[in-house]
Amino acid sequence: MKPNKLLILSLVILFAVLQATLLNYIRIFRIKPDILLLLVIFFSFYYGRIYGLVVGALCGLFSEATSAVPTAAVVFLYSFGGFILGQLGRWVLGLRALGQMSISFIFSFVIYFFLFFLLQASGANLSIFNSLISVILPASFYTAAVSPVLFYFLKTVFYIQ
Amino acid sequence: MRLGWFKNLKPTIQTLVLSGGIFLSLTLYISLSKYIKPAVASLILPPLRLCEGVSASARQFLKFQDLSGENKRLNVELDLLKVELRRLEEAHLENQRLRALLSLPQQELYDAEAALLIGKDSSNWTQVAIINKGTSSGIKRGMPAVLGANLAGRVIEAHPFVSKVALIVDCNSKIPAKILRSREEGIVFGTVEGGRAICKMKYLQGTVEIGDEIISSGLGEIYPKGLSIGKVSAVEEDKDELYKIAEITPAVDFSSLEELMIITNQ
Repeated sequence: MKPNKLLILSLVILFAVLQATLLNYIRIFRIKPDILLLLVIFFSFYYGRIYGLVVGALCGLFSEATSAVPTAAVVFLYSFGGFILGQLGRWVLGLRALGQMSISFIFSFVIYFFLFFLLQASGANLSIFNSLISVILPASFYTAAVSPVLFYFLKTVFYIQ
Repeated sequence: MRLGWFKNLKPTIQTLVLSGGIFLSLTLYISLSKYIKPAVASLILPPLRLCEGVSASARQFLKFQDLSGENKRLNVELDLLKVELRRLEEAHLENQRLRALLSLPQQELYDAEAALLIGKDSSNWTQVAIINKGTSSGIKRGMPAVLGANLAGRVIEAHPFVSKVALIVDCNSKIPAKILRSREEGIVFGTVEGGRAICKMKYLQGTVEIGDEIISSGLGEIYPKGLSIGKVSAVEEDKDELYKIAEITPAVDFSSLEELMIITNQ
């Protein structure tokens, strides 16, 4: 069953607001989970590459509206990543929580790694070692850790068996 | 989504069409970001304000029981500040007299617009505060943000009813600064290290001691002169480097930041 487009847009806005407000209260060592990225992963897994691409672009737009990353960097990475992940197919549907967490971790890690290079190219004061220890790895772990709960919520919203 | 025509294409053509589409969309987005970003920001502004309202009410409720103790503490603080104010008034008058004697121009006072924080950065990389004031309140890109006499950041995007402030601990920030005690000049920059967003100062020579106060130097005319940035908490010794690095504890506590003042007439 195809998801309601208005529901998708509302969810992206809701997640963008939560990402900029309530998630600040569950930061661990300055790091919070990236629920917009998880939304991209969910739509790529369950609805394929085109939904991954479109939801990725939308999530990137809202993420850039509330951060200082270079223009189009997150839009490009989220939409392109969503498209690539959507190519993997629906076999992911059969995975248990640990499998979903592993895929979420790898995807977050790759996206954050590329984002580091885009930020550094734009003149940010970041070193690869410190970024890996302080942002890329912890953010990927944290995002992966909340993925089963979020996927369960989204599956309930979209009536996915 | 109706993509029947697309699915009938050969895989190579599909990839080409998609790559072209992505490239074209990104080019359009970059060139029209001036219009797209305010539109996206205005979409999330109402729920952001609602969230901030709920959160502020909750904070107020939790603080309510401490009000009596806080009131006593503030009364004592007020008495001390009255004494300090009297002393500063005398110093100000003396300063005016001396400036008149030396024929120096009078320093201008700044106009400031108070703004509430309605959100924080959504990414884990940059350090941005989203405030509830924008161009409709006279806020423009590049204006400095302060908290008391302490430098907090700079407006990087101003939309009609909302703006983004890059904090001094943001990895893109670079502030011309000087050490208050020795007048040594350098550059303060934000970075991420050891799970924290911190400030560091790069300087050429001179002795920097732990506890030294760092202030904005006013060079570059982005940040006003004399605002406190923080205090030196560690000095890194590296004989191979041309520059020396000092770690700074910011004067503003960014973890509990709730409001900011934007200087509008620098």
